[in-house]
Amino acid sequence: MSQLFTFPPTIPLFLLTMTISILLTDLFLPKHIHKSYWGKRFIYLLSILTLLFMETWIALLYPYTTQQFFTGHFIWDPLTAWLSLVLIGISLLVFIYAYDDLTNRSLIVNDYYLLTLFSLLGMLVLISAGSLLIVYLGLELMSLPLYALVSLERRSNVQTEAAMKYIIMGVVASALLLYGFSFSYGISQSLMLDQLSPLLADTTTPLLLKIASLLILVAFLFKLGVAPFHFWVPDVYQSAATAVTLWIATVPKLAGLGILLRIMALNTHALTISGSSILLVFGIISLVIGNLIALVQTELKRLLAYSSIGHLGFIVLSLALPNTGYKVAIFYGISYGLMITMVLGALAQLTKRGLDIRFINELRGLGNQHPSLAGIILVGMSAMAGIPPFLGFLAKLGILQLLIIAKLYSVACIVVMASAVGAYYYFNIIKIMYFETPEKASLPSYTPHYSFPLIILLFNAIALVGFGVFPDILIHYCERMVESLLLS
Amino acid sequence: MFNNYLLTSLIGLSLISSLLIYLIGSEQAPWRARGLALLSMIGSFIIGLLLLVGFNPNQPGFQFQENYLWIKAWNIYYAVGVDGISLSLIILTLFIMSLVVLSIWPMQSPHAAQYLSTCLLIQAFLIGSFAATDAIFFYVCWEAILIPVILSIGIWGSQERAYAALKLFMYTFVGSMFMLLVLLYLGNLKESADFTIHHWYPLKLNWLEQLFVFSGFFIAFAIKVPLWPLHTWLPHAHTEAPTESSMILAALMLKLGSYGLLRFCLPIAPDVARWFAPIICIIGLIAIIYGGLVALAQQDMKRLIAYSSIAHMGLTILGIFLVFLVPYASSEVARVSLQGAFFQMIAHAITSAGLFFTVGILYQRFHTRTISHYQGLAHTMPLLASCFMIFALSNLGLPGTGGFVGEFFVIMSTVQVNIWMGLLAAMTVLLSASYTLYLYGRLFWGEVAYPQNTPSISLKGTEKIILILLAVSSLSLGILPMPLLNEIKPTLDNLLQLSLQTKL
Repeated sequence: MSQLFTFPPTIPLFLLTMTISILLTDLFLPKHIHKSYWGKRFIYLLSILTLLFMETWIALLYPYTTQQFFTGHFIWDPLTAWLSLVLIGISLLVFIYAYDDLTNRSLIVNDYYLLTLFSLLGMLVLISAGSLLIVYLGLELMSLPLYALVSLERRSNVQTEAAMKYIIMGVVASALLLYGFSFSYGISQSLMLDQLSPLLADTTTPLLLKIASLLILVAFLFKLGVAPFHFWVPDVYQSAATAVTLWIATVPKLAGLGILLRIMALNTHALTISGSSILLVFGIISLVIGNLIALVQTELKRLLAYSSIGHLGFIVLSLALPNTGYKVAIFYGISYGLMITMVLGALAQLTKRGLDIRFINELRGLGNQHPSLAGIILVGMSAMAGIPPFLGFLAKLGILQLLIIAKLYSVACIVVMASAVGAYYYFNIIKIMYFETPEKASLPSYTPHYSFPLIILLFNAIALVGFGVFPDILIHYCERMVESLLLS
Repeated sequence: MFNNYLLTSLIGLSLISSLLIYLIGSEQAPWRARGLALLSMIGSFIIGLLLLVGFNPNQPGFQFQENYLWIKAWNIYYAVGVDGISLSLIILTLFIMSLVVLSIWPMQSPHAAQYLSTCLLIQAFLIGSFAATDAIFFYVCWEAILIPVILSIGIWGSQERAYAALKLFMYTFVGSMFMLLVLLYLGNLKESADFTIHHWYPLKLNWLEQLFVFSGFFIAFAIKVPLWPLHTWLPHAHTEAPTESSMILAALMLKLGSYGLLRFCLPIAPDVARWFAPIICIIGLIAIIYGGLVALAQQDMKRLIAYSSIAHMGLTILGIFLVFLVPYASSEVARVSLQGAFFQMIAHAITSAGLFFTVGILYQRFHTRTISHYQGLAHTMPLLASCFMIFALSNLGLPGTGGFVGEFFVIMSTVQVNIWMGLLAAMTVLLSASYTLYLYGRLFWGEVAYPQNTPSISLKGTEKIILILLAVSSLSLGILPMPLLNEIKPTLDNLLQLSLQTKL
């Protein structure tokens, strides 16, 4: 039994087992238990317990050494372990925040948790992939539940439309991925990622391999939502239920970042155009597009979608610079994950209080009506704008320092100008919440009380401030994460 | 014995009291917030006294230094330390903030505790900025001031507060971002070990690097000063802000800009500063005359005082950059000019705090800021009239008040450089006399004409204390300027020497 405990591939297997058990429980739970108080929350609690168990399990496996299983198809190294911890941690936050939103929209709660657990399983497989086959397996297992989640409200036309856009574009991206995989298999004669690396690190890589790398990169950038492959992001974020946006905006991004790191770590020479990495180009386009188009948005989740395109531009930019860039990319990824989870979580809690926020103007006067949630959104917006002493500032500091050390001064200026532009729409939200009074005096009445998700939101906000003032521990673990990937 | 912890305890006290007041303060029990604020004030006062007493002006370098490794991965330290100018500005901060706390004291509004908490947060970050000797820590405190300031303007301000807060935020944020690039560049040079500011003073930079460094710093600080033509955020911010925020803005935040110029811009990029000095001196002169002329045209009291601030800050910038234009043989002129500029900073802080506070008292009672709605207030509010007279005289630079010393030194030095520049600089006296006496005359003299001015709502106790304290400090700065001058002379001489060196 203890051997099973220390055998890392059991972790995704355990998640699979638990998910199927939850599925069967949900199907065969008697009707009268379904209606009762604890029955309604049963699947929710069971999912959270599963995640907590897995989190402690992985934490107890410390220290993490690089191991390979199943003839190299499954890799367990510090990146996998730490990133799994981060993914499960943020999933816990998402699960806690999402419950109230789901019940208040009378969505089928259990479907949500099942689909997200399957998606999480796909992500865990993805970040431990050692071969192209497992990459594809994990990616599809991650994406298919996402497509289904977008149309959780079955009667809604906008959700169906967004889901169709997402599916069709996602399938095309997967096709590109397989195309790239087929080329790289053709040249390297092997599916294993580490067989691929010497070929890609060599400066005289054949053109076909460069094209293969580009195709693979494009597929992953699509999944992340990086411009110019971002067209699904605003529609999906806006149309999906807030609980679903909460999931799609946070966890898949980190998983995508993880696998991108693994593949990029092999790839620095293959993806350069006249010396500079193509990732720089995509990063800058993403920054500019995300921040500029967000300026004209009037709907809140669409604005958050474009701002996330901008933030991913930052991450992709730091991926362009090897070694130190990987650490900064993960650091930015984790800080972004915390920030966006908190903001969307606050929005989900607002649904519970009777405020289904669609337009930004509906946030008017929130500072007076719901001070704690408004405060949390304030912290989130300031952190995303990059204002000290929050974590978002240190993430931007890391990227700017990286660019200046690499002597890419013009890129640093573009980053700075994009951040300055971005600051406007974050300030706009703060302005609408605090500086304006609501139009209609009849907001739903609400007696303040502390609920469990609100307390977790407060801890989330405190974490942002805490890591903003004492980031060393986070940076240390980011270094641990990427140390196995560093090019010697 | 506690010397090593004084600065950190000062910053920490402000932070903790801000947090506690926010958590504990409530409108049902206002004495919780007031008691905590009082304790915090007394604590800060004691620490400030210890700092003053333990400070030796003639000792070179920074005192009360503390240096802890903050972010190991990026070589950033939490490093604080004071020299003459930092200490003067920190004492000024403590003084003005205690007056602000006193001013918020009698407030009955439901959010008085949150307002107190916001102001104390601003105090913490202001002291952090003035005391910082690590550049990234300075930047963190500099930017962190933004959110409390825009919240205080936007929530408790008047009609156009959202626009004013937006303009302040965007202007300052955009300006500061380029400064961040410059700081990162300087900290990552091969020759510089870390981000400590005074380690950058002897750093050898070539012309292009100095140009880049100077521009980055200058944009950020010129917006904060504010220097014409980047001043347009100030009239809105001061007009729409509530009284206490106006006091903090005018007295303290404006000084951040000039302090930054003295601390960063001039010593690190002296050659480019010398090259730009004539242009910047002319811009300073334009600011003086422009500020004065526009102030003359104002109908809103607060806007008038805001433009007067622009004019006085123009004089400060003139005094700072004049050091590059003096004939080389007479470095005494340069020293006097710099001392005058810094003295003007402190004196203007007290004066403008007094002016804004008075206007706040009037606005609270009569709910209008238009000058033509008032007449004959001297009959109904004699104490206010007397104190305002002292502030007005200090504003226009009457000898014996604080505003005189700084103006006199700067104008004296300008005359020695160029008689025509001196003439234009002396216009500040003419113009400030015009608009200040116009304001005073319209408000206080004449017959009591408007019915709403007649009920003499007498001043509350706290308001009397604040007015008298400000008036007394303004007078004492004018009559006994030597203590302050002795504190700042050695530091300014040192900075002058660093600014006049050449690094090419």
